[in-house]
Amino acid sequence: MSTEQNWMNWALQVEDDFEISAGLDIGEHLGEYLTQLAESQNCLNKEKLMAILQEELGSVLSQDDLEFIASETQSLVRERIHEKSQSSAIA
Amino acid sequence: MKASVKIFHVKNQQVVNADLIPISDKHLADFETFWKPRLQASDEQDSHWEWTKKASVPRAPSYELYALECDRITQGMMILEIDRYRSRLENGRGLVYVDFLAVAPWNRPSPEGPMYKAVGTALITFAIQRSIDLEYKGRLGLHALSKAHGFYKKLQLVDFGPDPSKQNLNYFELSVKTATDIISKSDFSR
Repeated sequence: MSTEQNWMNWALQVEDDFEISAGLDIGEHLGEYLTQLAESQNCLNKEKLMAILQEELGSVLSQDDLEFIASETQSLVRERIHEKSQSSAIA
Repeated sequence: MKASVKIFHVKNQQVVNADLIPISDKHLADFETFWKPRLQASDEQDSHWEWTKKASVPRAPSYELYALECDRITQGMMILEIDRYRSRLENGRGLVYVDFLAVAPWNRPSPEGPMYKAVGTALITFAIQRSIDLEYKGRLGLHALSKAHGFYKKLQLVDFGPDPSKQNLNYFELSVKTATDIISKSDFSR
């Protein structure tokens, strides 16, 4: 039996009659979800953030430290916005 | 990133070719035209939502958005988050997180039966392959609705139970070993 047939047999057996959805049950609202996702990506300009950090902390921390703080801050903001959008998605 | 995959046409009892490709406006149009009317007719938990914004494919570097297309129609969709989540099984190592995965309404379990099977399994297998490509060794995490727990348990993902940070959806994670087993069964051609 070929790999293709083996995989299909396995897939049909494992799927059985189960639902397979993952993530939130956004149903018909995929478009709104994608819009929120895009907004969460564009929420904080890294260059502006770096400029502020440079001005306030440039004499204390290295460039690598500031880059790290900027990246982590961006990530945290994205996470919070994403969580907020997910909360509203199933509220 | 794209792949050729196989899915199963139930009525014809036939394995057919499908393409797994980045989501485009065409797929969102399919969603509006073909998926949405059926979802609106169903008793989805979120049917009280108001539709307020027109969909467009977001520019989101941390995300990869995929559609599975067969017969020129979108049969499934998946959003992966590739650089933020960390493994619970392996002490903070990186993984691919499945932010969203859905198969078309006509491919879901129903009294009349699905049109195609193996759509969801093809999407998940592809996500595992992406995890390997990204040097996460197949590690994969996701939150699943209760109706999908059976599938992920059968795939041998570890069930971490309800996650209060995700509206108490159960968190599941795939180990490197199980990922390797699953990928060894697959035949992805790029």
